[in-house]
Amino acid sequence: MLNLSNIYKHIKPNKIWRSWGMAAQHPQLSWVESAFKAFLEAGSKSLLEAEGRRLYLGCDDNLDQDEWPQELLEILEENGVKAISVDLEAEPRQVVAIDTSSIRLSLSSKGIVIALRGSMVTRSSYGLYIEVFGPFIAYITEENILELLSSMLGGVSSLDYCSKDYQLYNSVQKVLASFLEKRLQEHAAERFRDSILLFDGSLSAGPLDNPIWLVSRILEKARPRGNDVLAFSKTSILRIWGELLTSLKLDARPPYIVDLTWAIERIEMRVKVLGRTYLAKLYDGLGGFRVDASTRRGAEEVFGSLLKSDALIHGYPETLILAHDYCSFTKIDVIAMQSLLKRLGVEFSRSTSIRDLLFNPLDGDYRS
Amino acid sequence: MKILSKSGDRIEFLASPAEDGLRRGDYLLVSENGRKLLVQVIDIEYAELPGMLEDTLRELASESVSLKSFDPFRVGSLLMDLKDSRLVIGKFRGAIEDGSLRNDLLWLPSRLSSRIEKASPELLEELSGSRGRRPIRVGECMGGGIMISAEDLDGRLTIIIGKKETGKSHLAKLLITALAEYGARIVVLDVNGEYLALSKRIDGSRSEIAEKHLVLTPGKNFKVSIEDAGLKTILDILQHIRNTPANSLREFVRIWKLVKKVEGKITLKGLIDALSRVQIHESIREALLSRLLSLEEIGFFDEESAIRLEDLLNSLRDGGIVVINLSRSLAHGRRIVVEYLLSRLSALLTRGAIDPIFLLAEEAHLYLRETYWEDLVTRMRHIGLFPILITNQPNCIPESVYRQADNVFLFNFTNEVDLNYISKISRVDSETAKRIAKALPPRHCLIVGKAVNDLPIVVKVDQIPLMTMGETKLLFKLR
Repeated sequence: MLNLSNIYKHIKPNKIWRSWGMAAQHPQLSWVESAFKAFLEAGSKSLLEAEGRRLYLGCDDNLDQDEWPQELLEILEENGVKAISVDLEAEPRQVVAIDTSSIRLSLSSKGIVIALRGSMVTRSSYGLYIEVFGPFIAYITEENILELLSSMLGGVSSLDYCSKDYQLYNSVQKVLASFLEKRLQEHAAERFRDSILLFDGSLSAGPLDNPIWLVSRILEKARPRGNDVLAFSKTSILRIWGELLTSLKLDARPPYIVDLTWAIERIEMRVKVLGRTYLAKLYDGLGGFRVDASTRRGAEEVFGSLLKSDALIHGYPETLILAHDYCSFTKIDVIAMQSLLKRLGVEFSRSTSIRDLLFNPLDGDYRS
Repeated sequence: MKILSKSGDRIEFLASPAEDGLRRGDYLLVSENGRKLLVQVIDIEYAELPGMLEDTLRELASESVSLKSFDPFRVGSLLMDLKDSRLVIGKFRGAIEDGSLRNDLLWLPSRLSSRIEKASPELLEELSGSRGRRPIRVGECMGGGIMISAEDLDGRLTIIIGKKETGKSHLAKLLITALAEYGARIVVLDVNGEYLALSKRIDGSRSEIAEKHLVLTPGKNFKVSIEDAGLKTILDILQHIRNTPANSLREFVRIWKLVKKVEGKITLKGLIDALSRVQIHESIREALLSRLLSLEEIGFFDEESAIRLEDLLNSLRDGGIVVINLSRSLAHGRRIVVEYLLSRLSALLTRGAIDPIFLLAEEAHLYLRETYWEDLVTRMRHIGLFPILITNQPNCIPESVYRQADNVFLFNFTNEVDLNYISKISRVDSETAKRIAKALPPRHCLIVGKAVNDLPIVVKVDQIPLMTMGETKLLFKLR
């Protein structure tokens, strides 16, 4: 059975896509295989190292985005901001959303086993088309970090960092997931034309997981093909921006956007934002989202097209929510992957929580 | 398959879909270090998995969209298996020690390292097999034959229940023909004419049982004298079937004795004549006359061509099946015949005039009066009348009968009300009875009780080559 249809083999391809020749826009198996061949080889090799090893369960899949500093609020209050109305006459366009998820399956004194999954959701007038990539599983140790990271990027020979820059038990999972996401984003930028590409997070470049060269390359590939990129950041921002909007008393009714690029540039930040940064308040409810945009067209037109093309749920594009849903891991996914590891000879133990040992010695292990 | 939990006598196993092939009623053997536990499967459900709702919702939502997945590690197929994991629900039937089944042993096998496999047919045969010397093959279970013994029915109360067309009569025929072959005498109260053709095989030739098969049709080749019936039987008929008032019954006793004294014998004609002449209140005369005339009308009481029941039964030295054909009788005539039979058999057995006898009563609620049920399962059983009751209406049999049943052959029931009744069978837990009965295919039954050494067994009943005659006459089949 073709790997592509293992999970969802009962779902038949939408006839519309085929009849309208849309299949040509979708990745052929050869692309997927070749794009991730290096990582699959490196990942499989790494799993051989896990054979016979005792790994511990009890993981955390939290992948928080960087939060904006609180002082931004003060700067905005000092200078004031102006709302830009979204162009509601803009044409509808194809929307493509990309997201990835990662989870730590187990860990040992030598390394961690992680799983990554990406998804790409395309919405056009022909309907929805969903592609799921993964899960990719790898056993990461100090020795193979660079090899795995490099292979995820398709065999980039030299990353700008040495292995010590990555914290095996903290950042590497996030970095690897981000690299997978960048690969998918880059692929979408090349594959689609005149589409709105929705990314999860921001267009911040600079940290280990978002190399400037890589983010720039994606945006450069998107522009000549008429694609506009909007990166929606959802983590923790909603609360902060909700307060901000209330305090600034903007004289505008949603949907509108507020250009905050100037404010961001004034703040000393560790990262460089490629494109412009907006506060997007696209619906009447509370709060809004930070949206980094790299567009050829005017931002108000691109947001207008988004409103015409995609459903919004609490001001957040539905395709991005779907992309998130299809890449995120459920408990059953984890059980299945752990059972796969067991078949590869890994032995599992439940990790001991010192907190439970001290405070909940009888049933603490099962408390959420 | 792994043990998941045990609570009381209920044991739950987790199984992968690849381990399909279990049926309700199958036995599993859980063994560890030479010790063994016997568990009967009563149901199979999906295992409750964490996040299953979320996953299923996602799958459901995906049905309307095109979706492709690149799954290099083939986690998808593992997921499929996981999502289809089974929860096998079983009932603890005992631990096996020294070849015998014991319920008093406090031992639990390891959840992880115990070995779980289907019990072998030989083991089931050994554990369920009775110690009798007259085996009756009932059918098969898990690939092996299931035998009960004629001794397990001897002196017992046996019930065969199930909804229509599930195979009750078929099993009854199998049992009574086997009993007759072993020399037992069986009286069959046949309301549907299903047992009339036991002397023929399906191909029309004579069956092995033909010599021992006797059909008696009341009013035709089955007539009895009223004296042979006796005063008590006739009083019972008048009181319970013809609803005769007490003062009329007193007068009837007086007339009975008068006729006996004057004529030396009792005949129905003599009773009617005496009743016409004797000095008696006109309303009582009317009441008794109308009732005696109706008895005369059914043609069952006839002194001239009367047969003696004890002579007939004793003539069947090597056993036999006496079918009382009630299929043509009207309701009250049917009840009169049954009243006579039970009363007479009871008297004959008490006197020792006949050997113990089996009584097969189908849909007995149609002709058996209320007060007889208790008598059937207590007194009559002790004097040598062993009932085999068949019904498709479990609520028509009193609860006390279920509680005292020694053997129950339970066929399919789907209706909840029926299932609640059968759960009163005392020889098996109600969960087993309900879960298994609900899913039994035709010709399959759950046997509980002495016949299977109190080890509930689901049996596919063997075919018998005899003509059934139980089929409904159909209009369109004739055209």
